[in-house]
Amino acid sequence: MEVASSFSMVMAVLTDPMAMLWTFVGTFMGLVFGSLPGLTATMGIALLVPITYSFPTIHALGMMLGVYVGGIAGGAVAAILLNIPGTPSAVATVLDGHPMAQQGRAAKALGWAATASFFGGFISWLILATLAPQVAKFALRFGPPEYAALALFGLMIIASVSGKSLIKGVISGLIGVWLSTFGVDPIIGDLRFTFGNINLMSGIAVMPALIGFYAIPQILRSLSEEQTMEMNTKTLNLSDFIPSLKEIWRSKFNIVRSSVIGTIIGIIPATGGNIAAFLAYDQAKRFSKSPEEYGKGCPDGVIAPEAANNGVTGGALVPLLTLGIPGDSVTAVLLGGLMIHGLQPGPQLFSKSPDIIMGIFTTLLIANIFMWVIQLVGIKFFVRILRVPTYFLAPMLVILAVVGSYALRNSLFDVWLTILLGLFGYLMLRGGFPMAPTVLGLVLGPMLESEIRRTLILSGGDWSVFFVRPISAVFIGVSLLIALTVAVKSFKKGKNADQVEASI
Amino acid sequence: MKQRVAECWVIGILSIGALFFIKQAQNVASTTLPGGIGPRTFPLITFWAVLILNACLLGSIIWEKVKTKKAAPTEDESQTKLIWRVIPYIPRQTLNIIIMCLLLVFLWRYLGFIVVAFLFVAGASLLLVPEEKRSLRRSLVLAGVYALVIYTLFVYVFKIPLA
Repeated sequence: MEVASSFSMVMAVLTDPMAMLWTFVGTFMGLVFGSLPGLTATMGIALLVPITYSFPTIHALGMMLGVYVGGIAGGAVAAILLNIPGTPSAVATVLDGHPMAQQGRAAKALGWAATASFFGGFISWLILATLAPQVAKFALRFGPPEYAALALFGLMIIASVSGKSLIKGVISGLIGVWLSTFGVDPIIGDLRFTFGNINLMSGIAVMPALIGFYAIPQILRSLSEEQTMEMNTKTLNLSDFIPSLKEIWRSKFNIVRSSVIGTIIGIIPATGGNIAAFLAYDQAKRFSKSPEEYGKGCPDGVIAPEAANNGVTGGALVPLLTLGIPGDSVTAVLLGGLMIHGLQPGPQLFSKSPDIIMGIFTTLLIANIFMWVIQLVGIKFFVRILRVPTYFLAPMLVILAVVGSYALRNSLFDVWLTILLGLFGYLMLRGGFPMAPTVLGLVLGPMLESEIRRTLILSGGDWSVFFVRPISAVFIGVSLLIALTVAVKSFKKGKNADQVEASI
Repeated sequence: MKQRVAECWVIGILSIGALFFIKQAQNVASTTLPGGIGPRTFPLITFWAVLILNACLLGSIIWEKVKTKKAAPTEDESQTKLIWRVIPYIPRQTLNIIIMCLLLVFLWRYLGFIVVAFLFVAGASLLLVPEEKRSLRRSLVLAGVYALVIYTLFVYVFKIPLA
């Protein structure tokens, strides 16, 4: 029965031309956002989610997942041609991708990047489809203390590892939690911090805040950054673009290894595509018969990071879909988008709406296929859009941002909120405060508060329940351990710097 | 904008905000449930944590400053008036777009979406484009087409009304 319903959902997606169209549009737009340095997949999702407000759920999912997959894969274009990673996860692609372009093998590098991204996405999709239902089954045992501990874990881990300073990371996370306290109290229903304003009664809407924190500061920053665009396109011979089956077969171990590394890293919260790409690059070099070629334009040096960073897409969806915990900023924005469509990711989603889960799995696979095909067919277009200067793009992106924040509730209050949070976000960005913890704090704050309070109501005010139950004890223990390790490391780093200074 | 100045601005804004919200929390119902956590407890913990961490961050900035001053005051600092060290330096282009964003939202209510979007894109692209590449006609055409495309897409395709 379950298999039949799942199969019918897969067929429903595959035979729905609009679902296919919006997945295609999302993937294309994701590739555009990923290709342009300064625009990221996170910004792409934040700006494009509003378009999906009126869509049926499955069309919206297709569009959002398409932007996600395309946004991560598109980063390679600028990394290879401009020596500037289009997205943070394409940093490692620069190492061999740009030297290949300098040697006149730009097309080959771009072709490998697209192909490796597809295989990375496909293998991570396989792992997601196999692993997620099992994790969701296990997560059904979770009660309020486990969820409270999990939210704390998600917040602590990202606050600890993102950015250079632990204090700044935690402050950023707390800003998000602060914003989540507006509106109706989650347990009793009393109003908090509404200042008599009707717009604040339902709290600060997630999407305007996400757009404010993720789009506006990036747009403002891009205006003050001059980038020298020296493009290596003179030898972009596209007949050389698609790797042959023989070449793909020769690189099979590198592709599979890097994809698995990417997926595993994606599952771990607060890691992300750049860590996965560097780790896969390092492993590829270690296993290579000619490691000395790495860094000088070796195709394996493009395959490894690209397979890994797209491997992250499927991996990051495991904690998001099964536990409702986003591991990084992209999945936090994705979670915001899912919530707008009335979906609350978590184990219940698997048991109550298996059709939605199948829809997500199917559209993710289709997005990966589209990502490959669009790049193979339209690579010249993505090369061309790199020439569009920031001063033309910035005003258009601002308009898209304000329209997006207005569209959810048709409220100018939300637009003001987006602009004000965006300006504050710009200050934060300039001050070296990481943005990811803020976004996660905003999304996880309500869960953290309500689950802690629910636990205490059920336990009659006994706090020890968090430490007696093994799963919550493990989550709390691990988050404290990570925070402690980071604190000790940064203290030692400061001490070492003092010693070096003294010796000078 | 120098990182230190931006850091201080963030610390300042957050500290004033936290103090204000701590005071405002007194207006929230004080109903207490088992465990001692009422509707105001969690926000209060958050605001106090922000205040304490801000104090720590400020302390570390001052400590670093004292250390570097002891080593040798930088020429840059001794020559710059305090006021310019406090006011964050924002690049002109960025400042232009910030002001235009505020105007965009302010005028939306009075002029409607199409007009403000047109004015914003035309104005911004004229201000941001380097002088040698500036073209009034191109900016106007670009702004007109973009405003109409966005309006048509949202209102007629996505069925999202834009006032």
